[in-house]
Formats: sequence, structure tokens, C-alpha cells
Amino acid sequence: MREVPATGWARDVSHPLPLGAVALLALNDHWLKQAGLVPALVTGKLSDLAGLFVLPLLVMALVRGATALARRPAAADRAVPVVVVAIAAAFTAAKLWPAGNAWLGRWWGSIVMDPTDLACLPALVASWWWLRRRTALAALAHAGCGTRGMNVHSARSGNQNEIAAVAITAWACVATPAPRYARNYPAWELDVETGRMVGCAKVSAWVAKSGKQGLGVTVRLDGLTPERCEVRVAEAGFTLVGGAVVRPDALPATTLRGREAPEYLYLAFAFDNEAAWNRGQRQGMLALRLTAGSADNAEWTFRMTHRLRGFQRNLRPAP
Amino acid sequence: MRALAVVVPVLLAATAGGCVHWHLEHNAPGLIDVHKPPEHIAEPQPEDPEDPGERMLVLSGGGLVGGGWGAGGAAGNRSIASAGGEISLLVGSTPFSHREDNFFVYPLTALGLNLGWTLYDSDGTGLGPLYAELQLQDLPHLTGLAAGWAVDPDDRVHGPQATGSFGPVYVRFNYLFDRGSALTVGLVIKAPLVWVWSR
Repeated sequence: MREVPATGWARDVSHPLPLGAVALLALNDHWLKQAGLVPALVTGKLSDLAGLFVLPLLVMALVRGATALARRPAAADRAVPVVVVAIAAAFTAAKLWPAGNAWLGRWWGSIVMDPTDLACLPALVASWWWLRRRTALAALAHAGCGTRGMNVHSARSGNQNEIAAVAITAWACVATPAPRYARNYPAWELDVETGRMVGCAKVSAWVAKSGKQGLGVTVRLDGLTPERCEVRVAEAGFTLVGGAVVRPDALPATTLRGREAPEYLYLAFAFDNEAAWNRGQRQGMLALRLTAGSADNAEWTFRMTHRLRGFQRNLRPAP
Repeated sequence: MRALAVVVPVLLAATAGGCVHWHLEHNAPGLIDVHKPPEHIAEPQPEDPEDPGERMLVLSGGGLVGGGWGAGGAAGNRSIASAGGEISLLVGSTPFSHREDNFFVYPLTALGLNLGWTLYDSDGTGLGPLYAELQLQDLPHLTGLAAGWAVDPDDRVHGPQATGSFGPVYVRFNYLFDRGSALTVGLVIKAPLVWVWSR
């Protein structure tokens, strides 16, 4: 079958072969990588191979569009080697050079620094070959072999197809998935359910902050009556097992306005949590004494544990 | 040869380890402003702390192969070929923590010690010089600088040595008293074992 030469600005992309590569890129990035059906080594290389083939075509489509607008379409063909070499240099820098990886990552999103990905660079050669072939076909068409019979309608629909092809390619190139792992941190946890009734309020608490500088506890208050009700933390303390009692910065209070909206209080316990962690002091007790409305003081103590649930956490756990 | 029996298995073990890394729990909590309430106070879970970065201990081993030029001493001007092994122990840090999907787990800047032996050296007789160097590595610029002392036990000569590297390429200069100076350029490949803990 004789190929119909294309002459448009996005002629390099709007063809089943590059669009197939775009589909492979999108499928791999947004499904295969997460599905765990194929080893990460394969999915990683597949993205790079498809991406390196498609990206020069996308950039050249934009260059051709710009040069066509500037009425200098011939200038675009001279840009082909520049575009391919620039992409090769940027890819190499991102894979080998941490500063380059960080700089490009700021614009592109996180890029895995894996020197073995350089094995995918030959995809750029294929891309270059494709660009030269399409340029040659376009030259043939200009010489009168292909598009002489095109009417206005087919030219317009061809342009729409090219815009769609470029948009899809750009989306597939840019919408790469976010990194899979992130560092995890230890956090203090309350070992028991904290929900209690105190006079006019239901009280629950959780650890809202946990780090080197101490820990912070949020106390949630839900009104149990339609009337206004004042709730106050009368006393609070956090005790590391084998350590002194740490008092919060302040003892907060609030007024509940009926049952509708909960109120939140924050208790900050500042201490050298890093030193405690390094010493192995990872058990503690949180003591709270609250007054709510006319109720007498209600006092609780909760056992707490400082836990590290893995050094890294999976940002995209399997469903 | 007895030294070879120690050096070679250690180098092989280090190489076989590839880019293996281990996590240590030390300093694990993150950075928080404990006095400031969480941004989303209704979220019933701890807010993510800020990243304090990481420290790393790197034990790496590998080989160097190079060639160059020598001058001075009894042999005068000459060409040189050399090959040897090297073990490095470096301590470094990164301002941000690594992710498990990174290929490299390596400090951005590191300082440490190189111990090596130029097992084959066309300059001199028998085995080449042993050396110890203090090394500074700067990963963002792929550069390393090392300086130390080299001792050739066969020929009983010794002297200062300096090595610069850019990626896998190294340039080494040494001046062994009674043998003269030597400049070698070559390739160095090392496989690191890395222990990571929080800053």
C-alpha cells in the first residue's frame, strides 16, 4: 500500500506508528507500572523507549507550527538535529548528573536517576530516522505526488486531527506518574480509642504532629446539646516512660455552639523527641483533664507509643 | 600475596553488593514546628513533617585501570600502564531524603578515606605501590579530589599522590622519591554499600 504523504505541521506525530508509541507510553505510565504485572525494570525502560521516540516528534510539531506561523517553514527541517541532540543531552544529564536531574525535575516532574536508562537512547535514532523520512515524504508531496486533489474540507479536518494528535502526545509526555515512594517518619500514636462523653461534649483526641521537636495533640469537641457550652482543658501532661512530665505551651478553651460544628483544640508538647527516640524511649502517657459546661472535671490517661511503620511508604499502594 | 588474599575477596564482596543500601533508625523523626497548630486541624492523622535530609556511610570497592607517562629517576621518560583495586570509606549527607525508587542512593557531598593497591604497575618492579588518600566527593558535579601518600614495598620508594576524578574518569599524579613522577589517566569503577540514617 502506498503511503499518502502528509504535509501538515504535525505530520510527524499524526501517523499510526507514533500514535501507537504514545498509546504505549500512556498505558505503561498509567496502568502497567501500577499493576505490577511486569517487572519495574521493564516498565521503566518501556517508558523511556516510547518517550524518547515520541518527544522529538512532539517538539518538532511545535517547531513546525511556529515556523509556519512565521512563514518560514523550511527552517523547521534544520532544527531536527538540534532537537534530537538537545533531548539526548538533557536525558543523559537527568540520568547521570544529580544537579541536572534536580533542575530538569523542577520543570518536568520527578525523574528517576538510573544510568541504565541510557540504553534507551537508540530510540532517538529511530525518532531521527522517522523525522527525516516524513520530511522526504512531505518534499515528494510538495513536488505534486500526493495532496493536489485535497479539497478545503479535508484540509480543515486534517488540521483538526493534527491538533488532536499533538494534544494527546503532549498529555502522554507530560502526565508522567508521580514517584512511588517517599520517606516515612516515626509518629506517636495513642494506643486506645479516645472518644469520651464529658458533660455537654463528646471528646476525642489524636496526634496531629510528631517530630524531632516534640508532639502535638488535637482534641475534637462535638456538642451534645443545643445550648452553648464552654469546654476547657484544665490540665494536660505528656510523660515519657522514665522521663519528666512535659506540659503543653498553653491550656486552650473554646465554646461549643450547639450540635452543628465541631471545635478543635491544639496542645503542643515541646521536648527533645529525637533524643528520646535515639535513647529508645518510645512509650509514654498522655494525661488530660477537661471541664465541659457544668460537668465536673473528667480526667483520662492514654498510653502512647512512638512507632516507625517502615522507612519508606508506598504512595500508590495496590487497591 | 597474603595481602591479595584479603583485598580481592573484599573487593569482590563490595562489587557483588552493587548499589545496596540499608536504613538505620537513628534521628528518624522529621522536622516540625510543634508550637503551630496543624494546617488541617480536622485531619485525624499526623501532619507530614519536613524532610531533614540524610547522612550516609559508604563503603565502596572496585578497580582502576589506566595508563600515562613517567619522568625522572633512573628510567627517565617512559610510558606507564597500571591497574589496581581500591576500597573507600566515606561519610556524607544529602539535604533531602532518598526514595526507594531512586537508582542511586549516595551522598551528594562526602569525605573519607581511600585505601588502594596498584597491583600491576609497569613502573618499578613487582607489584605497584600501596596508597592511602583522604578523599572529598561532590556528586552534583561528579567530581572527586583525593590526596595522600603512596608506598611501594617492593622497591622501597614512597611519596605524595593526588587523584582527581570526573565520573568514572580519574587522573592521578604521584611523585615517588628515587623513582620520579608519574601521571596516569584511566577509568575507575566502584560498587558502593551504603548505610543511610536521618540528619
